[in-house]
Amino acid sequence: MIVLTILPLIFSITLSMTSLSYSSLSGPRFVWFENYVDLLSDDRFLRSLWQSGILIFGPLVFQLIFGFCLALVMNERLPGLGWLRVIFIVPMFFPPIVMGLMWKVLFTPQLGGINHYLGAIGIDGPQWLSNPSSALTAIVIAAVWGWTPFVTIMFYTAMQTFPKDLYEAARIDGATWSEQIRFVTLPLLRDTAVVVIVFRIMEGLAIFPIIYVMTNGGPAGSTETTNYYAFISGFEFLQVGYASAIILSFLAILVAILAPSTGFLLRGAESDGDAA
Amino acid sequence: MAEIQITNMSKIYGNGMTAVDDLTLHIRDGEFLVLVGPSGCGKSTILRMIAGLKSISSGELRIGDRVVNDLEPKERDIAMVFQSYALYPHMTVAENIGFPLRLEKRSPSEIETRVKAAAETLELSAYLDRKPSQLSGGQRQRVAMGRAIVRQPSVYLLDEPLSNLDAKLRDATRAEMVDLQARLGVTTVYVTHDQVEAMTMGDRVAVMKDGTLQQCAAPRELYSRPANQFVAGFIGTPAMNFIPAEIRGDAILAGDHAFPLPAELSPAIGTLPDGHVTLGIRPEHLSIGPDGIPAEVVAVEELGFEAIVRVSFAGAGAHDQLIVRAGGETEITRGETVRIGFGEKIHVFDANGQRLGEMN
Amino acid sequence: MNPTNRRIRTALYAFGIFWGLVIVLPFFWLATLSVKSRLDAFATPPKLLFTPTFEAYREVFTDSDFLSAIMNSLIVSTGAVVLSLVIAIPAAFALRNLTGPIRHNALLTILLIRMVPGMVYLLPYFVIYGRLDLIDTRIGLIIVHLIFNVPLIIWMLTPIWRAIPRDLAEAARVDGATPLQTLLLVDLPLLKGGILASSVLAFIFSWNEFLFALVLTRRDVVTLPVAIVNFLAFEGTEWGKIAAASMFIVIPAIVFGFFVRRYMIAGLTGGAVKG
Ligand SMILES: Nc1ncnc2c1ncn2[C@@H]1O[C@H](COP(=O)(O)OP(=O)(O)OP(=O)(O)O)[C@@H](O)[C@H]1O
Ligand SMILES: [Mg+2]
Repeated sequence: MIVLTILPLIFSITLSMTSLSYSSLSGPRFVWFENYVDLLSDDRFLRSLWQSGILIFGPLVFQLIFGFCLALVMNERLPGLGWLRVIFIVPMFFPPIVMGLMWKVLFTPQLGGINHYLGAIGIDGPQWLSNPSSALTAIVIAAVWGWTPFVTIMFYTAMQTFPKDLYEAARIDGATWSEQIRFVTLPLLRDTAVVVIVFRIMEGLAIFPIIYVMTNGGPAGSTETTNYYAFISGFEFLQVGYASAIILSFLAILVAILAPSTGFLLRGAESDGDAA
Repeated sequence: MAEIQITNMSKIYGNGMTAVDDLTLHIRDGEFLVLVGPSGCGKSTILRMIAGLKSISSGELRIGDRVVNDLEPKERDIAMVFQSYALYPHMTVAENIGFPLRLEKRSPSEIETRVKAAAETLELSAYLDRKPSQLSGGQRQRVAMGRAIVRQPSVYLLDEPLSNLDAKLRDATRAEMVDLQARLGVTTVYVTHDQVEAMTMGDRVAVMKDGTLQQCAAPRELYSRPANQFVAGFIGTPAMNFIPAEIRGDAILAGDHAFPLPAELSPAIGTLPDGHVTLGIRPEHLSIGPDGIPAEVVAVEELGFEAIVRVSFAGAGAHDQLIVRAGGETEITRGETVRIGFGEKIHVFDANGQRLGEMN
Repeated sequence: MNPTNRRIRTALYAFGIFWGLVIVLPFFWLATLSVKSRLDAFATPPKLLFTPTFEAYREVFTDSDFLSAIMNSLIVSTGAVVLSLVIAIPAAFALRNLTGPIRHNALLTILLIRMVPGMVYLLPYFVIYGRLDLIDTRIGLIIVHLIFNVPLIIWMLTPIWRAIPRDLAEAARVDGATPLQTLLLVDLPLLKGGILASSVLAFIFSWNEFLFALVLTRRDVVTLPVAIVNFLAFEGTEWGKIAAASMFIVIPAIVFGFFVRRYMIAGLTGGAVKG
């Protein structure tokens, strides 16, 4: 595994310091940090960072809120809603590419009918995928659909482990149902929420296939995330060295944001002690 | 059949903890030896070193006439019963018992005969096709025993095999195991933290504390001549009374009470730096009667055939109380003043807890 | 229950049902598209009642590119699972026996390896595979799948393995088992369920994988997710075919996923959350 992962990572760092490009005739040169310096003045890169932020944190907010509510729905065992538990997790097994195709269909005028039904309730839907701001919205919607189940299941699983005594004690202390949620459930979910957020940030750009089929990064580059830009640079422009610098910079930013929480991630894994 | 010779054996764990310190112990062929001591004193560690599950840090371990320090468990000709029983959950009772034979590559027919025989001995014949999860605690314990006896090894190692059973079953199984061991005549090392188990089962009992052997002797000897204050206090319920005392000339002073110093103790006592000693008196060696020191009854535990009486006694050390074993027919009530007679058998320990001797 | 609480609960109830519809309806839409004629597909207003036609499925299953993509997907996913098991089982075994800081760091490393975005690995693999002529080969694709599947299986198995009492392995050792025999006769039978579940999950992930397949295949070993995108590129408006092919990819994933849903969290987060 080391060979398969760590070595390529190291190789990728080396690549990012070369001018390796399959589209140019000159051979690769070792250029130290030139690629990284270039990035600082590459508007397309800076824009992709901003759009990555939107496409990571935008869906995340909704995923957290919806995920929490849905976990409550599951946890409360509301009568007649048992079948929802199975439905809620379906998108987790969806191939992202199919997810992208599905939403592309839905957002395509005539084919999808979204605008038709929006019109029926008096909303004039936009030309979703051909207009920059609504294209971003469309991708956020697809991402919320696809990854809210992850958050739901994480929260639900955590809720299942909370001791019943706590709720009973809170009730005896006079807490109403919503107060139990506020003073017992929410504080207990804090750790899980941190883990969820870390995973969702780190894997937020797994929406690549969705962008790939829905908008191709467009229109006018408005949905191009950093990994998408690296993809274009590396495999369309064939500037592999520069593409490596793009994606490694992005990784460095992610790591810088998330590093403080790594110890936290392992706490759960460590404490599951020997059951013997 | 084999004897076990442990010489200067120690175990130091990776974290620097000395779990067993310089243990020397000779376990005779066919003997039932019980290792007893409080939790964490190193009993399991010793057993696991004998089994070969833990490495020996220093010293020598012989089983039979071989030094086995560096042998794998299977080469040591031992069998072990774990506290958790460690039954393989996915195998039936028969497969569990037969597992060691299967690993020895015995023929299926031989395995079957021997498993049946073992099951017969342990009255498990009816359950051979069940999985461990379908058995009661006592039956599981017997399956674990079955896995040990089926191999006919020369040593059995048992780590608290009864501690997961309820009290009644434990009493019954205790006798069965002693009986089984006597019939099979296999050298047995039995670990427990329960001193009643130790006293009732062992040919000899080795008492451990903090990784060091305190005393190894037959139960009666351990009871009547404990080597030190720890053993004296550990063995026997209710526990021995300890009273701080002082040597004054040729008398021993305990509280307001003076005992004449027996002549045979004088040489030992003469060597003490100061005159402080501890007197140890078993509850049954105190009596409630017409003569003796007055004391107030603090509590009475009536057991029917006898009564455990707790009295307050100025100068009696810990909580200033003594425990007295009184006959069942005595009428004693709380708050009453009684007279305590110190007649029989008083053990004398020096300031380090070593036993100096006894007074009668 | 006081009125506010009742209102909140009613709102939750409604939201639950709403979300159920949000999940089901798009999927349903895609499913109907796969059995609509072209005319019905583009009808305005959308046609909810129509005569189903299985023309699109017939076309998809007679398309030789698609058929070879099915083969490729099956072979690559199966190969990736088998090879991952071969690596992950011994690794999980080793992790079970490690203690203290070494284990801590090993687990953390495995976790991080999996969390690194795929694009980071893709570029060096692209260059290396170019040199080694591994582009557009099944084995090349299988190898990159290991990056994700091995950690997944290790994560799922380690906690299950650690829940098996250590006494069992020691008892086996006293009973005369070699470490290999202990593994085969004691541990593996008890891990069966976990191994099966993690294999299924790994299979689903391989089956669904898009990015690596897109870049590292050309023509010969194109897998289903890429093949379906090729429909989009070359045949522009054949939405019925795309929908039918989508159904073919997604339904096995959901069906298998349904059986291993209990293990999903462990597989995704590596025990970062107890569950
Ligand atoms: N693997 C280990 N590493 C470090 N210390 C250990 C290890 N195993 C045991 N110890 C320590 O060694 C000492 C003796 O442990 P051991 O298990 O032998 O006790 P024991 O007498 O069997 O106790 P119990 O009656 O509770 O089973 C204990 O203090 C324990 O904490
Ligand atoms: Mg022990």
